[in-house]
Amino acid sequence: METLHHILAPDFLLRNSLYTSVLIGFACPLVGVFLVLRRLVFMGVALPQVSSCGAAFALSLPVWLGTLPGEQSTQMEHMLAFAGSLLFSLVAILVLAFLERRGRGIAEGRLGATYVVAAAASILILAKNRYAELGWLDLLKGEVITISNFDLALTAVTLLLVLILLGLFHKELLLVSFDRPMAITLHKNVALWDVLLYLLIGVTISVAVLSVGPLIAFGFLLIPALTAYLVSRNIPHFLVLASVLGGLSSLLGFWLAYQWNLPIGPTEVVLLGVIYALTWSISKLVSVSRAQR
Amino acid sequence: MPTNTLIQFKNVTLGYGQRTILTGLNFSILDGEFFAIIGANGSGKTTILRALLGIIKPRQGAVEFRDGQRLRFGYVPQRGILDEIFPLTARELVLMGCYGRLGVLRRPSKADRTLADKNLDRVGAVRLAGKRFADLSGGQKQRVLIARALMADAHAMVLDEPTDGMDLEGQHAILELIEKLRSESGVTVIYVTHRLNELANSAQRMLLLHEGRVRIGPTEEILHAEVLREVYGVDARVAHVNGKRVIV
Repeated sequence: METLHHILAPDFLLRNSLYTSVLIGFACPLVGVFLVLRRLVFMGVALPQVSSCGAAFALSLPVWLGTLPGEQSTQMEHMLAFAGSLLFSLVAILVLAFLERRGRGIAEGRLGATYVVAAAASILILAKNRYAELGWLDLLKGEVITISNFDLALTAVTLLLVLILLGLFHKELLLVSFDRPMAITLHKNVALWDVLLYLLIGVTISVAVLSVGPLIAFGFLLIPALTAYLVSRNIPHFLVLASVLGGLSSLLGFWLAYQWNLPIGPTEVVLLGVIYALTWSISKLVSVSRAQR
Repeated sequence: MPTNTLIQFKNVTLGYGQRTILTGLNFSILDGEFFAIIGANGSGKTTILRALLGIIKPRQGAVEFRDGQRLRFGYVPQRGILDEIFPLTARELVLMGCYGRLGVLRRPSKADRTLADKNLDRVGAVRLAGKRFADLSGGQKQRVLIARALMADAHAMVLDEPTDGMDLEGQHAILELIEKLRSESGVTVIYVTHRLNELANSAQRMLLLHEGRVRIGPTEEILHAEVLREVYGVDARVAHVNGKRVIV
Protein backbone atom coordinates (compact mmCIF):
# COMPACT_ATOMS: atom_id res chain seq x y z
CA MET A 1 0.00 0.00 0.00
CA GLU A 2 2.92 2.30 0.66
CA THR A 3 3.95 1.99 -2.99
CA LEU A 4 0.41 2.79 -4.08
CA HIS A 5 0.41 5.98 -1.97
CA HIS A 6 3.78 6.82 -3.44
CA ILE A 7 2.73 6.48 -7.08
CA LEU A 8 -0.51 8.40 -6.48
CA ALA A 9 1.31 11.34 -4.88
CA PRO A 10 1.23 14.52 -7.04
CA ASP A 11 5.03 14.81 -6.94
CA PHE A 12 5.59 11.22 -8.14
CA LEU A 13 8.38 11.33 -10.73
CA LEU A 14 6.57 9.10 -13.24
CA ARG A 15 3.15 10.65 -12.76
CA ASN A 16 2.83 11.50 -16.48
CA SER A 17 3.44 7.87 -17.35
CA LEU A 18 0.86 6.74 -14.80
CA TYR A 19 -1.77 9.23 -15.98
CA THR A 20 -1.18 8.35 -19.65
CA SER A 21 -1.33 4.66 -18.93
CA VAL A 22 -4.63 5.01 -17.07
CA LEU A 23 -6.09 7.27 -19.81
CA ILE A 24 -5.19 4.70 -22.47
CA GLY A 25 -6.61 2.00 -20.19
CA PHE A 26 -9.96 3.79 -20.00
CA ALA A 27 -10.20 4.90 -23.66
CA CYS A 28 -8.92 1.92 -25.71
CA PRO A 29 -11.59 -0.53 -24.52
CA LEU A 30 -14.34 1.88 -25.61
CA VAL A 31 -13.30 1.59 -29.26
CA GLY A 32 -12.22 -2.03 -28.68
CA VAL A 33 -15.87 -2.84 -27.90
CA PHE A 34 -16.80 -1.82 -31.45
CA LEU A 35 -13.94 -3.89 -32.93
CA VAL A 36 -15.20 -6.93 -30.99
CA LEU A 37 -18.87 -6.34 -31.88
CA ARG A 38 -18.07 -5.82 -35.57
CA ARG A 39 -15.88 -8.95 -35.47
CA LEU A 40 -12.85 -6.89 -36.49
CA VAL A 41 -10.60 -8.10 -33.67
CA PHE A 42 -7.67 -8.88 -35.96
CA MET A 43 -7.85 -5.33 -37.23
CA GLY A 44 -6.88 -4.45 -33.66
CA VAL A 45 -3.56 -6.31 -34.19
CA ALA A 46 -2.81 -4.92 -37.63
CA LEU A 47 -3.76 -1.28 -37.07
CA PRO A 48 -1.37 -0.50 -34.18
CA GLN A 49 1.46 -1.93 -36.30
CA VAL A 50 0.40 0.19 -39.30
CA SER A 51 0.17 3.19 -36.98
CA SER A 52 3.70 2.52 -35.76
CA CYS A 53 4.92 2.28 -39.36
CA GLY A 54 3.23 5.63 -40.10
CA ALA A 55 5.06 7.24 -37.18
CA ALA A 56 8.40 5.84 -38.41
CA PHE A 57 7.66 7.12 -41.91
CA ALA A 58 6.70 10.60 -40.69
CA LEU A 59 9.77 10.87 -38.48
CA SER A 60 12.04 9.83 -41.34
CA LEU A 61 10.48 12.14 -43.90
CA PRO A 62 12.37 15.30 -42.80
CA VAL A 63 15.62 13.34 -42.87
CA TRP A 64 14.93 12.14 -46.41
CA LEU A 65 14.03 15.71 -47.36
CA GLY A 66 17.32 17.00 -45.90
CA THR A 67 16.01 18.59 -42.67
CA LEU A 68 17.93 17.26 -39.67
CA PRO A 69 15.82 16.09 -36.75
CA GLY A 70 17.91 18.14 -34.36
CA GLU A 71 16.40 21.23 -35.89
CA GLN A 72 12.96 20.19 -34.68
CA SER A 73 11.79 20.34 -31.09
CA THR A 74 10.76 17.14 -29.33
CA GLN A 75 7.17 18.43 -29.39
CA MET A 76 7.39 18.91 -33.14
CA GLU A 77 8.82 15.42 -33.47
CA HIS A 78 5.94 13.93 -31.50
CA MET A 79 3.35 15.88 -33.47
CA LEU A 80 4.95 14.61 -36.66
CA ALA A 81 4.89 11.03 -35.38
CA PHE A 82 1.23 11.45 -34.35
CA ALA A 83 0.26 12.86 -37.75
CA GLY A 84 2.02 10.01 -39.61
CA SER A 85 0.57 7.41 -37.30
CA LEU A 86 -2.95 8.82 -37.67
CA LEU A 87 -2.74 9.10 -41.45
CA PHE A 88 -1.51 5.53 -41.92
CA SER A 89 -4.09 4.15 -39.45
CA LEU A 90 -6.97 5.93 -41.15
CA VAL A 91 -5.99 4.90 -44.66
CA ALA A 92 -5.48 1.30 -43.52
CA ILE A 93 -8.76 1.10 -41.59
CA LEU A 94 -10.78 2.59 -44.43
CA VAL A 95 -9.24 0.27 -47.04
CA LEU A 96 -9.51 -2.83 -44.82
CA ALA A 97 -13.09 -2.02 -43.80
CA PHE A 98 -14.08 -1.42 -47.44
CA LEU A 99 -12.62 -4.78 -48.49
CA GLU A 100 -14.26 -6.45 -45.48
CA ARG A 101 -17.66 -5.06 -46.45
CA ARG A 102 -17.28 -6.26 -50.05
CA GLY A 103 -16.77 -9.70 -48.53
CA ARG A 104 -14.29 -10.92 -51.12
CA GLY A 105 -10.97 -12.69 -50.45
CA ILE A 106 -9.70 -13.91 -47.10
CA ALA A 107 -10.10 -11.20 -44.48
CA GLU A 108 -7.74 -12.83 -41.94
CA GLY A 109 -5.10 -13.20 -44.66
CA ARG A 110 -5.33 -9.50 -45.55
CA LEU A 111 -5.01 -8.47 -41.92
CA GLY A 112 -2.11 -10.86 -41.31
CA ALA A 113 -0.30 -9.57 -44.39
CA THR A 114 -0.93 -5.95 -43.33
CA TYR A 115 0.47 -6.67 -39.86
CA VAL A 116 3.64 -8.37 -41.01
CA VAL A 117 4.38 -5.93 -43.85
CA ALA A 118 3.83 -2.93 -41.55
CA ALA A 119 6.12 -4.43 -38.90
CA ALA A 120 8.83 -5.18 -41.46
CA ALA A 121 8.48 -1.75 -43.09
CA SER A 122 8.90 -0.02 -39.71
CA ILE A 123 12.15 -1.91 -39.13
CA LEU A 124 13.40 -1.12 -42.65
CA ILE A 125 12.59 2.59 -42.37
CA LEU A 126 14.40 2.91 -39.07
CA ALA A 127 17.32 0.63 -40.02
CA LYS A 128 18.39 3.05 -42.75
CA ASN A 129 18.02 6.07 -40.49
CA ARG A 130 20.96 7.07 -38.30
CA TYR A 131 18.75 9.18 -36.05
CA ALA A 132 16.54 6.25 -35.13
CA GLU A 133 18.67 5.42 -32.09
CA LEU A 134 18.09 8.93 -30.70
CA GLY A 135 14.85 8.11 -28.94
CA TRP A 136 12.74 7.19 -31.95
CA LEU A 137 12.85 3.48 -31.18
CA ASP A 138 11.60 4.25 -27.68
CA LEU A 139 8.83 6.33 -29.19
CA LEU A 140 7.75 3.52 -31.51
CA LYS A 141 8.04 0.81 -28.86
CA GLY A 142 5.90 3.03 -26.65
CA GLU A 143 8.18 3.61 -23.68
CA VAL A 144 5.57 4.76 -21.23
CA ILE A 145 8.36 5.87 -18.87
CA THR A 146 9.36 8.83 -21.06
CA ILE A 147 6.08 10.77 -21.27
CA SER A 148 6.47 14.56 -21.32
CA ASN A 149 3.83 17.08 -20.20
CA PHE A 150 3.13 17.78 -23.87
CA ASP A 151 2.59 14.07 -24.62
CA LEU A 152 0.25 13.78 -21.65
CA ALA A 153 -1.73 16.84 -22.72
CA LEU A 154 -1.95 15.57 -26.33
CA THR A 155 -3.14 12.16 -25.13
CA ALA A 156 -5.66 13.63 -22.67
CA VAL A 157 -7.18 16.10 -25.13
CA THR A 158 -7.39 13.57 -27.96
CA LEU A 159 -8.91 10.85 -25.82
CA LEU A 160 -11.36 13.29 -24.26
CA LEU A 161 -12.48 14.28 -27.76
CA VAL A 162 -12.91 10.60 -28.69
CA LEU A 163 -14.89 10.01 -25.50
CA ILE A 164 -17.19 12.98 -26.16
CA LEU A 165 -17.87 11.92 -29.77
CA LEU A 166 -18.49 8.32 -28.73
CA GLY A 167 -20.90 9.54 -26.06
CA LEU A 168 -22.74 11.92 -28.38
CA PHE A 169 -23.09 9.54 -31.32
CA HIS A 170 -23.17 6.20 -29.55
CA LYS A 171 -26.75 5.60 -30.70
CA GLU A 172 -25.93 5.97 -34.42
CA LEU A 173 -22.62 4.09 -34.18
CA LEU A 174 -24.38 1.18 -32.50
CA LEU A 175 -27.22 1.12 -35.04
CA VAL A 176 -24.97 1.07 -38.13
CA SER A 177 -22.78 -1.58 -36.50
CA PHE A 178 -25.69 -3.85 -35.53
CA ASP A 179 -28.21 -3.49 -38.35
CA ARG A 180 -27.00 -1.59 -41.39
CA PRO A 181 -30.14 -2.18 -43.53
CA MET A 182 -32.31 -0.93 -40.68
CA ALA A 183 -30.13 2.19 -40.38
CA ILE A 184 -30.64 2.84 -44.11
CA THR A 185 -34.42 2.45 -43.81
CA LEU A 186 -34.32 5.01 -40.96
CA HIS A 187 -32.55 7.39 -43.41
CA LYS A 188 -29.22 7.34 -41.56
CA ASN A 189 -26.10 8.15 -43.56
CA VAL A 190 -24.36 4.85 -42.85
CA ALA A 191 -21.16 5.68 -44.76
CA LEU A 192 -20.73 8.86 -42.69
CA TRP A 193 -21.21 7.04 -39.38
CA ASP A 194 -18.85 4.25 -40.47
CA VAL A 195 -16.18 6.81 -41.32
CA LEU A 196 -16.67 8.56 -37.96
CA LEU A 197 -16.31 5.27 -36.11
CA TYR A 198 -13.16 4.38 -38.06
CA LEU A 199 -11.81 7.86 -37.40
CA LEU A 200 -12.33 7.42 -33.65
CA ILE A 201 -10.71 3.98 -33.74
CA GLY A 202 -7.79 5.33 -35.79
CA VAL A 203 -7.20 8.34 -33.50
CA THR A 204 -7.35 6.24 -30.34
CA ILE A 205 -4.95 3.66 -31.74
CA SER A 206 -2.51 6.36 -32.91
CA VAL A 207 -2.44 7.99 -29.48
CA ALA A 208 -2.13 4.64 -27.74
CA VAL A 209 0.67 3.40 -29.99
CA LEU A 210 2.79 6.51 -29.42
CA SER A 211 2.27 6.24 -25.65
CA VAL A 212 2.40 2.54 -24.93
CA GLY A 213 3.42 0.84 -28.20
CA PRO A 214 1.52 -1.46 -30.60
CA LEU A 215 1.52 -4.59 -28.41
CA ILE A 216 0.12 -2.93 -25.31
CA ALA A 217 -2.35 -0.90 -27.40
CA PHE A 218 -3.75 -4.13 -28.85
CA GLY A 219 -3.96 -5.61 -25.36
CA PHE A 220 -6.06 -2.70 -24.13
CA LEU A 221 -8.22 -2.67 -27.26
CA LEU A 222 -9.10 -6.33 -26.98
CA ILE A 223 -8.86 -7.91 -23.52
CA PRO A 224 -11.04 -5.53 -21.43
CA ALA A 225 -13.79 -5.74 -24.09
CA LEU A 226 -13.62 -9.56 -24.18
CA THR A 227 -13.68 -9.75 -20.38
CA ALA A 228 -16.58 -7.32 -20.02
CA TYR A 229 -18.52 -9.21 -22.70
CA LEU A 230 -18.59 -12.30 -20.48
CA VAL A 231 -20.61 -10.53 -17.79
CA SER A 232 -22.46 -7.70 -19.59
CA ARG A 233 -26.23 -7.71 -19.75
CA ASN A 234 -26.65 -4.79 -22.13
CA ILE A 235 -24.67 -2.34 -24.28
CA PRO A 236 -24.21 0.54 -21.76
CA HIS A 237 -23.12 -2.01 -19.15
CA PHE A 238 -20.67 -3.49 -21.68
CA LEU A 239 -19.09 -0.14 -22.57
CA VAL A 240 -18.77 1.11 -19.00
CA LEU A 241 -17.46 -2.19 -17.66
CA ALA A 242 -14.84 -2.56 -20.41
CA SER A 243 -13.61 0.99 -19.87
CA VAL A 244 -13.49 0.77 -16.06
CA LEU A 245 -11.76 -2.61 -16.26
CA GLY A 246 -9.13 -1.19 -18.65
CA GLY A 247 -8.52 1.90 -16.50
CA LEU A 248 -8.29 0.04 -13.18
CA SER A 249 -6.11 -2.72 -14.67
CA SER A 250 -3.65 -0.16 -15.97
CA LEU A 251 -3.47 1.48 -12.52
CA LEU A 252 -3.06 -1.88 -10.80
CA GLY A 253 -0.56 -3.05 -13.44
CA PHE A 254 1.49 0.12 -13.03
CA TRP A 255 1.51 -0.37 -9.27
CA LEU A 256 2.64 -4.01 -9.55
CA ALA A 257 5.30 -3.15 -12.14
CA TYR A 258 6.66 -0.36 -9.94
CA GLN A 259 6.58 -2.57 -6.84
CA TRP A 260 8.41 -5.49 -8.49
CA ASN A 261 10.54 -3.47 -10.90
CA LEU A 262 8.92 -4.95 -14.03
CA PRO A 263 8.31 -3.34 -17.45
CA ILE A 264 5.02 -1.46 -17.14
CA GLY A 265 3.16 -2.24 -20.40
CA PRO A 266 3.71 -6.01 -20.42
CA THR A 267 2.76 -6.21 -16.73
CA GLU A 268 -0.52 -4.43 -17.46
CA VAL A 269 -1.35 -6.74 -20.39
CA VAL A 270 -0.50 -9.91 -18.45
CA LEU A 271 -2.68 -8.66 -15.61
CA LEU A 272 -5.54 -8.11 -18.10
CA GLY A 273 -5.00 -11.66 -19.35
CA VAL A 274 -5.18 -13.05 -15.80
CA ILE A 275 -8.40 -11.11 -15.12
CA TYR A 276 -9.88 -12.40 -18.39
CA ALA A 277 -8.98 -16.03 -17.53
CA LEU A 278 -10.45 -15.68 -14.02
CA THR A 279 -13.66 -14.03 -15.29
CA TRP A 280 -14.08 -16.69 -17.97
CA SER A 281 -13.61 -19.51 -15.41
CA ILE A 282 -16.04 -17.94 -12.93
CA SER A 283 -18.67 -17.25 -15.60
CA LYS A 284 -18.43 -20.88 -16.80
CA LEU A 285 -18.78 -22.16 -13.21
CA VAL A 286 -21.81 -19.93 -12.66
CA SER A 287 -23.50 -21.08 -15.88
CA VAL A 288 -22.83 -24.76 -15.05
CA SER A 289 -24.23 -24.37 -11.52
CA ARG A 290 -27.30 -22.53 -12.91
CA ALA A 291 -27.87 -25.34 -15.42
CA GLN A 292 -27.72 -27.93 -12.63
CA ARG A 293 -30.31 -26.10 -10.49
CA MET B 1 -49.46 8.04 -59.45
CA PRO B 2 -53.02 7.17 -58.28
CA THR B 3 -53.88 8.63 -54.87
CA ASN B 4 -54.09 5.28 -53.09
CA THR B 5 -50.69 4.15 -54.41
CA LEU B 6 -47.98 4.18 -51.76
CA ILE B 7 -45.03 2.77 -53.73
CA GLN B 8 -44.53 2.41 -57.46
CA PHE B 9 -41.85 0.46 -59.34
CA LYS B 10 -41.47 1.99 -62.81
CA ASN B 11 -39.64 -0.20 -65.32
CA VAL B 12 -37.05 -1.13 -62.69
CA THR B 13 -33.94 -3.25 -63.36
CA LEU B 14 -32.08 -4.61 -60.33
CA GLY B 15 -28.76 -6.38 -59.88
CA TYR B 16 -25.46 -6.65 -58.02
CA GLY B 17 -22.04 -6.00 -59.55
CA GLN B 18 -22.02 -7.37 -63.10
CA ARG B 19 -25.09 -9.55 -62.52
CA THR B 20 -28.61 -8.46 -63.44
CA ILE B 21 -31.23 -10.16 -61.24
CA LEU B 22 -34.57 -8.72 -62.42
CA THR B 23 -35.61 -6.51 -65.31
CA GLY B 24 -38.71 -4.56 -66.30
CA LEU B 25 -40.43 -4.52 -62.92
CA ASN B 26 -43.66 -2.51 -63.10
CA PHE B 27 -45.98 -2.69 -60.15
CA SER B 28 -47.44 -0.61 -57.36
CA ILE B 29 -48.22 -1.25 -53.70
CA LEU B 30 -51.39 0.34 -52.40
CA ASP B 31 -51.83 2.19 -49.14
CA GLY B 32 -53.08 -0.15 -46.41
CA GLU B 33 -52.94 -3.38 -48.41
CA PHE B 34 -51.37 -6.72 -47.51
CA PHE B 35 -48.90 -7.29 -50.36
CA ALA B 36 -46.96 -10.55 -50.70
CA ILE B 37 -43.72 -11.11 -52.58
CA ILE B 38 -43.33 -14.84 -53.15
CA GLY B 39 -40.57 -16.81 -54.80
CA ALA B 40 -38.04 -19.58 -54.29
CA ASN B 41 -34.68 -18.86 -52.68
CA GLY B 42 -32.52 -16.89 -55.10
CA SER B 43 -35.47 -15.69 -57.19
CA GLY B 44 -34.83 -12.03 -56.33
CA LYS B 45 -37.50 -11.27 -53.75
CA THR B 46 -35.03 -9.90 -51.18
CA THR B 47 -33.48 -7.83 -53.98
CA ILE B 48 -36.87 -6.19 -54.61
CA LEU B 49 -37.13 -5.53 -50.89
CA ARG B 50 -33.68 -3.97 -50.80
CA ALA B 51 -34.60 -1.65 -53.66
CA LEU B 52 -37.84 -0.74 -51.92
CA LEU B 53 -35.98 0.14 -48.72
CA GLY B 54 -33.29 2.12 -50.54
CA ILE B 55 -30.50 -0.31 -49.65
CA ILE B 56 -29.67 -0.79 -53.35
CA LYS B 57 -30.38 1.60 -56.19
CA PRO B 58 -32.15 0.49 -59.40
CA ARG B 59 -29.88 0.17 -62.44
CA GLN B 60 -32.70 1.47 -64.57
CA GLY B 61 -36.12 2.90 -63.83
CA ALA B 62 -37.26 4.33 -60.53
CA VAL B 63 -38.92 3.41 -57.26
CA GLU B 64 -41.31 6.24 -56.44
CA PHE B 65 -43.17 6.98 -53.25
CA ARG B 66 -46.49 8.77 -52.69
CA ASP B 67 -46.17 12.55 -53.07
CA GLY B 68 -42.41 12.07 -53.50
CA GLN B 69 -42.07 11.83 -49.73
CA ARG B 70 -39.54 9.73 -47.82
CA LEU B 71 -41.58 6.89 -46.40
CA ARG B 72 -41.01 5.50 -42.95
CA PHE B 73 -40.58 1.73 -43.05
CA GLY B 74 -40.88 -0.68 -40.15
CA TYR B 75 -38.35 -3.26 -41.27
CA VAL B 76 -38.27 -6.81 -39.95
CA PRO B 77 -35.14 -8.47 -41.38
CA GLN B 78 -34.49 -12.18 -41.66
CA ARG B 79 -33.55 -13.37 -38.20
CA GLY B 80 -30.24 -14.85 -39.26
CA ILE B 81 -28.72 -11.62 -40.54
CA LEU B 82 -28.57 -9.98 -37.10
CA ASP B 83 -25.33 -10.75 -35.32
CA GLU B 84 -26.11 -12.14 -31.88
CA ILE B 85 -22.73 -11.14 -30.52
CA PHE B 86 -24.31 -7.79 -29.58
CA PRO B 87 -25.41 -7.94 -25.92
CA LEU B 88 -28.68 -6.12 -26.60
CA THR B 89 -31.76 -6.59 -24.47
CA ALA B 90 -35.13 -6.89 -26.21
CA ARG B 91 -36.01 -3.35 -25.00
CA GLU B 92 -32.74 -1.86 -26.35
CA LEU B 93 -33.42 -3.50 -29.70
CA VAL B 94 -37.00 -2.22 -29.84
CA LEU B 95 -35.83 1.30 -28.96
CA MET B 96 -33.69 1.29 -32.13
CA GLY B 97 -36.94 1.60 -34.04
CA CYS B 98 -37.36 5.19 -32.82
CA TYR B 99 -33.81 6.30 -33.78
CA GLY B 100 -35.14 7.54 -37.13
CA ARG B 101 -37.38 10.19 -35.61
CA LEU B 102 -34.92 11.12 -32.85
CA GLY B 103 -32.39 13.74 -33.84
CA VAL B 104 -28.72 12.84 -33.96
CA LEU B 105 -27.96 14.15 -30.48
CA ARG B 106 -31.19 13.04 -28.80
CA ARG B 107 -31.39 9.91 -26.72
CA PRO B 108 -34.54 7.84 -26.22
CA SER B 109 -36.67 9.48 -23.54
CA LYS B 110 -38.75 7.92 -20.80
CA ALA B 111 -41.75 8.24 -23.14
CA ASP B 112 -39.83 6.29 -25.82
CA ARG B 113 -39.06 3.55 -23.31
CA THR B 114 -42.72 3.43 -22.30
CA LEU B 115 -43.68 3.19 -25.97
CA ALA B 116 -41.14 0.37 -26.45
CA ASP B 117 -42.73 -1.58 -23.59
CA LYS B 118 -46.19 -0.85 -25.00
CA ASN B 119 -45.16 -2.22 -28.41
CA LEU B 120 -43.59 -5.25 -26.77
CA ASP B 121 -46.93 -5.72 -25.02
CA ARG B 122 -48.80 -5.44 -28.36
CA VAL B 123 -46.76 -8.33 -29.76
CA GLY B 124 -47.09 -10.36 -26.54
CA ALA B 125 -43.44 -10.03 -25.52
CA VAL B 126 -43.39 -7.46 -22.71
CA ARG B 127 -42.05 -9.99 -20.20
CA LEU B 128 -38.97 -10.37 -22.46
CA ALA B 129 -38.04 -6.66 -22.27
CA GLY B 130 -34.99 -7.13 -20.03
CA LYS B 131 -33.77 -10.37 -21.60
CA ARG B 132 -30.89 -10.60 -24.05
CA PHE B 133 -32.11 -10.85 -27.63
CA ALA B 134 -29.59 -13.63 -28.35
CA ASP B 135 -31.11 -15.79 -25.58
CA LEU B 136 -34.67 -15.71 -27.03
CA SER B 137 -36.33 -18.44 -29.11
CA GLY B 138 -36.99 -17.94 -32.84
CA GLY B 139 -40.61 -16.91 -32.35
CA GLN B 140 -39.76 -14.56 -29.48
CA LYS B 141 -37.03 -12.89 -31.56
CA GLN B 142 -39.50 -12.35 -34.38
CA ARG B 143 -42.01 -10.74 -32.01
CA VAL B 144 -39.30 -8.39 -30.69
CA LEU B 145 -38.32 -7.43 -34.25
CA ILE B 146 -41.97 -6.72 -35.08
CA ALA B 147 -42.20 -4.53 -31.95
CA ARG B 148 -39.13 -2.64 -33.22
CA ALA B 149 -40.82 -2.12 -36.59
CA LEU B 150 -43.88 -0.70 -34.79
CA MET B 151 -41.68 1.91 -33.06
CA ALA B 152 -40.98 3.60 -36.39
CA ASP B 153 -44.63 4.75 -36.74
CA ALA B 154 -44.24 3.41 -40.24
CA HIS B 155 -46.20 3.94 -43.46
CA ALA B 156 -45.41 0.30 -44.29
CA MET B 157 -44.20 -2.74 -42.40
CA VAL B 158 -41.72 -4.74 -44.44
CA LEU B 159 -41.15 -8.31 -43.33
CA ASP B 160 -38.46 -10.51 -44.88
CA GLU B 161 -39.22 -14.22 -44.32
CA PRO B 162 -40.44 -13.59 -40.76
CA THR B 163 -41.44 -17.22 -40.16
CA ASP B 164 -38.40 -18.85 -41.73
CA GLY B 165 -37.17 -21.78 -39.65
CA MET B 166 -40.24 -21.78 -37.39
CA ASP B 167 -42.63 -24.66 -36.75
CA LEU B 168 -46.23 -24.57 -38.00
CA GLU B 169 -47.60 -23.28 -34.71
CA GLY B 170 -45.00 -20.50 -34.58
CA GLN B 171 -45.71 -19.54 -38.21
CA HIS B 172 -49.41 -19.35 -37.52
CA ALA B 173 -48.90 -17.23 -34.39
CA ILE B 174 -46.68 -14.71 -36.21
CA LEU B 175 -49.04 -14.41 -39.18
CA GLU B 176 -52.01 -13.96 -36.86
CA LEU B 177 -50.10 -11.22 -35.02
CA ILE B 178 -49.30 -9.37 -38.26
CA GLU B 179 -52.91 -9.55 -39.41
CA LYS B 180 -54.06 -8.26 -36.01
CA LEU B 181 -51.61 -5.33 -36.12
CA ARG B 182 -52.70 -4.48 -39.65
CA SER B 183 -56.38 -4.51 -38.77
CA GLU B 184 -55.69 -2.33 -35.69
CA SER B 185 -53.59 0.33 -37.40
CA GLY B 186 -54.35 -0.03 -41.13
CA VAL B 187 -50.64 -0.08 -41.88
CA THR B 188 -49.48 -1.40 -45.28
CA VAL B 189 -47.84 -4.82 -44.97
CA ILE B 190 -45.21 -6.01 -47.45
CA TYR B 191 -44.41 -9.61 -46.68
CA VAL B 192 -41.72 -11.71 -48.35
CA THR B 193 -41.80 -15.50 -48.21
CA HIS B 194 -40.78 -18.54 -50.25
CA ARG B 195 -43.83 -20.57 -49.17
CA LEU B 196 -46.83 -20.31 -51.51
CA ASN B 197 -49.31 -21.50 -48.90
CA GLU B 198 -48.21 -19.14 -46.17
CA LEU B 199 -50.11 -16.10 -47.36
CA ALA B 200 -52.76 -17.81 -49.46
CA ASN B 201 -55.48 -16.54 -47.12
CA SER B 202 -53.91 -13.31 -45.85
CA ALA B 203 -52.45 -11.36 -48.77
CA GLN B 204 -54.72 -9.20 -50.92
CA ARG B 205 -52.27 -9.07 -53.82
CA MET B 206 -49.19 -11.07 -54.71
CA LEU B 207 -46.04 -10.71 -56.74
CA LEU B 208 -44.86 -14.13 -57.84
CA LEU B 209 -41.23 -14.59 -58.91
CA HIS B 210 -39.69 -17.58 -60.62
CA GLU B 211 -36.51 -17.68 -62.73
CA GLY B 212 -36.89 -14.08 -63.84
CA ARG B 213 -40.63 -14.43 -64.59
CA VAL B 214 -42.89 -12.09 -62.66
CA ARG B 215 -46.67 -12.24 -62.17
CA ILE B 216 -48.57 -9.66 -60.15
CA GLY B 217 -52.23 -9.57 -59.23
CA PRO B 218 -54.93 -10.26 -56.67
CA THR B 219 -54.26 -13.43 -54.64
CA GLU B 220 -57.22 -15.33 -56.13
CA GLU B 221 -55.85 -14.68 -59.65
CA ILE B 222 -52.25 -15.55 -58.84
CA LEU B 223 -53.02 -18.67 -56.85
CA HIS B 224 -54.69 -20.29 -59.82
CA ALA B 225 -53.69 -23.65 -61.31
CA GLU B 226 -52.99 -22.16 -64.73
CA VAL B 227 -50.83 -19.33 -63.43
CA LEU B 228 -48.86 -21.69 -61.20
CA ARG B 229 -48.31 -24.07 -64.14
CA GLU B 230 -47.19 -21.18 -66.31
CA VAL B 231 -44.78 -19.76 -63.72
CA TYR B 232 -43.44 -22.91 -62.06
CA GLY B 233 -44.05 -25.42 -64.87
CA VAL B 234 -45.70 -27.91 -62.50
CA ASP B 235 -49.25 -29.12 -62.06
CA ALA B 236 -50.56 -27.55 -58.88
CA ARG B 237 -54.11 -27.64 -57.61
CA VAL B 238 -55.78 -24.92 -55.57
CA ALA B 239 -58.18 -26.52 -53.12
CA HIS B 240 -60.39 -25.13 -50.37
CA VAL B 241 -60.37 -26.76 -46.93
CA ASN B 242 -62.68 -25.35 -44.26
CA GLY B 243 -63.05 -22.21 -46.36
CA LYS B 244 -59.26 -21.73 -46.58
CA ARG B 245 -57.30 -21.74 -49.81
CA VAL B 246 -54.62 -24.47 -49.99
CA ILE B 247 -52.17 -25.26 -52.82
CA VAL B 248 -51.38 -28.92 -53.28
